[in-house]
Amino acid sequence: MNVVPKPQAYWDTRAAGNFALGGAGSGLIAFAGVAASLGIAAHAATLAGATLVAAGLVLVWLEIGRPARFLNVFRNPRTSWMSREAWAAVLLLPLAAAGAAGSAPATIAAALVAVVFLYSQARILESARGIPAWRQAATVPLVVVAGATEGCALFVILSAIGVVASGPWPAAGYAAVATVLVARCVAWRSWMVRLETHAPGGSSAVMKRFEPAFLAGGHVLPAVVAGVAWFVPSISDDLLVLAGLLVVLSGWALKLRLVVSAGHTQGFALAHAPARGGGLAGPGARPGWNPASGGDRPAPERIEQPEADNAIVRRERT
Amino acid sequence: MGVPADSRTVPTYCYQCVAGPDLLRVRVEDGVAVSVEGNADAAACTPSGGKACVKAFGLIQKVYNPHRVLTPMRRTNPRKGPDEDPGFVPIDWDEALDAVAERIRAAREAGGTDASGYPRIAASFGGGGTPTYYMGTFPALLSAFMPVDFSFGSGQGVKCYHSEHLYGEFWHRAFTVAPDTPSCDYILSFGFNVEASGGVCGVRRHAEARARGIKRVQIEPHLSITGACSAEWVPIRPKTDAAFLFALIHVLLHEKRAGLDLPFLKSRTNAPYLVAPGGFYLRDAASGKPLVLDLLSGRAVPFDTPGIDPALTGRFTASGVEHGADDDNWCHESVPVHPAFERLIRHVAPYSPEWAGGICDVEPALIRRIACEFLEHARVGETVEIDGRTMPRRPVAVVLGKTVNNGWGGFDCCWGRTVLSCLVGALEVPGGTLGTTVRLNRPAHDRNLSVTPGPDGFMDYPMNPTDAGNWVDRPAVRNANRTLVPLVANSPWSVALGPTHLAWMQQKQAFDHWPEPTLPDLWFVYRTNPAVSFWDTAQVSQTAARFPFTVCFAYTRDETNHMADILLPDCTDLEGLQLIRVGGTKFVEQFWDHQGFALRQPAVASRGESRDMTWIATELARRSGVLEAYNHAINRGAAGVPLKSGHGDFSLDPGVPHDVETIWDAVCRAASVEISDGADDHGLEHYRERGFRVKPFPRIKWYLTAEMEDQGLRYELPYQERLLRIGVELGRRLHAKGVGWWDAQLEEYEALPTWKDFPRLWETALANHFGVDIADYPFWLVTARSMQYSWGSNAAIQVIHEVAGNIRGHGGLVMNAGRARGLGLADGDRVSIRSPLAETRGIVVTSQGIRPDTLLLVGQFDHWATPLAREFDMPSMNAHVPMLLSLTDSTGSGADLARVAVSRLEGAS
Amino acid sequence: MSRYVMVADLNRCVGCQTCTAACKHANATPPGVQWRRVLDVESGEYPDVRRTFLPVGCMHCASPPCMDVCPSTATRRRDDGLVTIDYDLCIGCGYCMVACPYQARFKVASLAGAYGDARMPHEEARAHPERLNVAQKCTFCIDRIDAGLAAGLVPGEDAEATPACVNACIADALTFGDIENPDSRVSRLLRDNESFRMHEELGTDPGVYYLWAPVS
Repeated sequence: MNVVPKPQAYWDTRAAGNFALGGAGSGLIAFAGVAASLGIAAHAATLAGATLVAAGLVLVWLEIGRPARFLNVFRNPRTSWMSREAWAAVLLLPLAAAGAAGSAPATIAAALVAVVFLYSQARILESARGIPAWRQAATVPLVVVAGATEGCALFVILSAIGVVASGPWPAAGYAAVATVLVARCVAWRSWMVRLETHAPGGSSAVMKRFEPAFLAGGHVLPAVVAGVAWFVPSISDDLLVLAGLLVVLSGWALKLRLVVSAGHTQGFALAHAPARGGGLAGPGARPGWNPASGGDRPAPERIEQPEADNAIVRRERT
Repeated sequence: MGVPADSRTVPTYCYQCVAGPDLLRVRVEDGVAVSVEGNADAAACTPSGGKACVKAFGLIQKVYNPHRVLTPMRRTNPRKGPDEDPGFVPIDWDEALDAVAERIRAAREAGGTDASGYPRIAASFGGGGTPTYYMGTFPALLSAFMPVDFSFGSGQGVKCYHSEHLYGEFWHRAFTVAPDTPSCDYILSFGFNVEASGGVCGVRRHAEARARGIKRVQIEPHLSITGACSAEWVPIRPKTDAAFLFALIHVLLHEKRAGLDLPFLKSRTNAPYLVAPGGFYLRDAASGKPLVLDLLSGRAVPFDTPGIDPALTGRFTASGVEHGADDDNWCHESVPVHPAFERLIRHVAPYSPEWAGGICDVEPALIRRIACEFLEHARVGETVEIDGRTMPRRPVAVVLGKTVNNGWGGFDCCWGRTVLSCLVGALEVPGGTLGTTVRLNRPAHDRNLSVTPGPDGFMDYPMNPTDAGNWVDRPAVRNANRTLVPLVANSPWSVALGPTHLAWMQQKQAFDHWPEPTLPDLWFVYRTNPAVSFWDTAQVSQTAARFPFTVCFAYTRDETNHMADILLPDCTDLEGLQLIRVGGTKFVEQFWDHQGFALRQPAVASRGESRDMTWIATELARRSGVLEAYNHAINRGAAGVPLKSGHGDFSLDPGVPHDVETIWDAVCRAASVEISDGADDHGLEHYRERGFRVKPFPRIKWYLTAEMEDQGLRYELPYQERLLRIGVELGRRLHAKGVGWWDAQLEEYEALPTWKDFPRLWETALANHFGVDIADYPFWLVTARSMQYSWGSNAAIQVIHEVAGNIRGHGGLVMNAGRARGLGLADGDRVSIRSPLAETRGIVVTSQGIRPDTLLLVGQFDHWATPLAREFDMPSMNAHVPMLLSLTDSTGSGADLARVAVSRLEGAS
Repeated sequence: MSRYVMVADLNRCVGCQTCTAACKHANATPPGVQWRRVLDVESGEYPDVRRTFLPVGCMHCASPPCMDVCPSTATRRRDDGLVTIDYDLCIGCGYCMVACPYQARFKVASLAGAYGDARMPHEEARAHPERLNVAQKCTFCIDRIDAGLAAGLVPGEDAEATPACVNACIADALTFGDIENPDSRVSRLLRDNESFRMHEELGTDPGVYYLWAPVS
């Protein structure tokens, strides 16, 4: 049936890749900025974050239909979050480069822009009014927190493998990971609650199937692994890398699911079935939506009351 | 896209389906046809409002389709069959035409008929006569080498409104039946799918009617397009429509009799005719006229006695004679007799809504309500002025769809429909149930002119004789139309309206005491694909593979021309030249206020080596030695207009071949003098520019009433004395020949139809023939027409497939959603569809709008050779419907109905 | 100020797809792209079921989500309500396609014809390379409207100035015109009938109205 909401087919894995890499990269730069503000040198993290952001943008560039015209992306910062993301990237990458070259103020500035970039990404999805699963307000915290979580986890990985200094307070790293994981869990659940009542059945079905693996593999398991690392310092670095990877990859899986599989279209709705000739009007339909779900308003069946329809009887000619 | 240097529009017509023609314009830019639009010039004078149907928008792709056959082809593989590669190789036209002409010559030299008396040449055309609007002068060629056997149907008889065609023409000159939609207020539609098959005109008329509040009740097992557009849907059990109709009649007669149109029944029907004990009319001994009981004098008098008030009800004692079959005559002295109406009342007494409710799976109260609504809306007693004449106004109509009005039960439903209309006087009056056109009666262009006085105060009817001296005991064609079916008459359409599946069936198993079922030496196939469009398509394909020499006019390769010996590429719709008659009243809902002519002309040059049909016909005539007869046929009017009339003589020199434009210029001139009463003789150029030419057609001719009143004629309803007699006579003739295999059909010749359990009849026939337990096949499989495809032969056209995809049902097997859930099936599941006859595969499409015991397959697909269409993965019901005598009614038709089982294909999802 | 809108009378529409096909002809859209189409929507449960044919396409919203998100400003809205796409600005990012709640926008990556890569003569003659890889959608036949207006015609009244789908509709289910003009056909229809707009709750202020019953 062509009237039922189906996963959008306009943005594919490449677009999801931008949300994954860009989110993680900007999150990483944000944490590098935090580190820099605490006096910890995190050049490599800044460099890695910028690389991820750039890679994400390259993926998008590969997806757009007219790559030669990519400069037109900057034309509408007035209303388009995609333009804003692009402008943020334009600021972010040179600052991050400067940060990677050793400038702590640049790193801190890059971190601030990275947050803007990440927020723009979240708003890109939230502004897509054609995709109920994305357009929820809860999408913004979900995407921002997810980016931060992945960035944090990447920072932990880079620390664990010694690319960036771990800083004087290892416990802070553990606390940060725990915080972002809890935050991501909370953001996820609140988004899911919203999804169930405000998106087509298909979207929440996809995400419900995804949820156990996401929560277990992306939250519980890394938390356990990190816990073990806390208590077994001899292998803590390896375990932290593992935990970090789980957090990052689960976040990327979330983006992939969100963009490619659960981004169901709005579908079509009929507020009323028409009166045909001398017949009566009838209740409408919103195929593919749970009748009890609200969408962004009560279902047509609920606000329009079929009984009221019946009152509008086309008079038979007498 | 640059700006075209040359852009113009070419007026032409589309007649791909029976609901045509649509007058339209083709935009041509720099010699390339780019788009189709309606013809706004025709908006005021066509019921289509100058608009074009969706099918017409496929015509551009039809021209440029890369899969077209663009040169004549010859088969190189002598073995034929679906699995054989025909090995077609291109040849030139000379070789192709000579090969065909040689066969024509041989057939003619052998005497035209074979040892069985059957024509050596056969031809099959697509349904509804639409191919004649594209075949140019080919009919002239066929008439030049008659006899030709049109027996091998491509859907006729099994997929048309067959019973309606025959009984409709018999009762009220109604080859097909339509509501007088523009003035109708209430329509009972038993599966009539006008929104899918009514073309622009039908859709438009009903849309206008809906806008002013018409109530249409759609009674059908699934929620069709028409059901969707109706005020109410009644999901009736398949093939039980007759019971529903009988119950409606019961309510009117037994509960609402006082409200009926008694004057109409008394004066315009045989309701008052007295029926003698033998079931035939009680007649006046002197004049032989049927008697009625005059309530004023209390005496039985001939029906046409002036100043009488005939009784409709009661039991009387009267004297007279009774004429039965052949020479059976009885003299009656003071015997008990009843008016036919009284007989009817008693006949339908058992058929109450409560009785029908169980059969139809419909609430009895609903049937009763519909009967009452029908009567209320009929406004019995009202009149209206039409063209200055006061006529009854009865804005209620009953219409029947395919499967309802063909096969067993078709007679019963057609009778029920027409009697319902008679009871309220709504037959052939403004707002009521109307006939559209005639094909069995003559002349074809104006059914009013076919109304002439016949026996017993009724219209005459060209019944095939059943008396011992005149019965056509030896069939002249393979479907034995005139021999078996008296009602099929003897017009040029009568063969195609015979029991066409008998021609195919016999090739598998001969009938006892019947001529040997030979194959024709030469078979022409034009704009049809019986290997897909007939029933038991596997058998049709196998039979077609045995035909010794088949010539197919080929657009693309297809399932029938896969068995051909020669392929001839003819011009497509937008490449050929032809003038046709338009207007008046025609099929479906083509009721015009104008009549005249329309031209189909090349919008673009013909592609490749494709040729105009008129050129091909002329060349074949020349090469097969029938040129003179061919030209004479054109002169007589085989191209649509006699070339010689009181207003002028545009006859062609019969001795020489004429080019396409010369022929059609002559036809155009003859048409011009006809339409202008000799005022001008504009030729081809005039029509090329305008595309059509019309003059007013009086609306009063939409209704037979004026003609019937003027001639003082009656409808032969409700009582079927003549059919009763014919049935007995036909039975005697057949039995004298030793033929017993038509006995079941003879039982249908009843004066008043008695209910037979039609669903059970199907189940029993299938169980007996295939030796199966019918319970293993729990679903009824039905079909429905598709607006985008019906009659169009357009399955190879991509844009049609694309836009049709927006409508549910084009994707697969439609199944009730709840029932599917119960079977563990979901949308998109791939399933096996098994009938006792065949197995096909398709995708499940779940729907709330279908009975749980019914499945639906839209259209006729299942292509395996036609380019594009063979990729559809869309099954057809045609593979599942067996050709069985036990499922053939007395008119020689069957109904689209099968029993199937459905199971999920393992490994598929 | 004018606002051009379309009115679809659901009582009249039969789902024949003539408008769909006429649009494909008028705008030479490639296979699979239907700027205008008619959906087949079921409501209710057996046996109390309705089946409605629902013409859809670009709704020419007064508050078009596609325009707000467009990073290149290719999508704009004219003063007369028509939402346009500048094919030369569009980068083909597809953002408008996910922003449109009506699935009205298309993007094709190939100029292939109905029967494959080898385009037919009419496809060749009317190929639109400028639409390749960018967003495309119903324009309300903007060229006809503009040419008609320039010639002094009234969109929705004169066929030459009216969208092809409206002209082609065999059931007269589609009507076009200026909703700001109280005497226009669309205004009259909207006065005489109950109507709704699709997904109105999303704040799009769509310009396609569906009639479902006469005003009682």
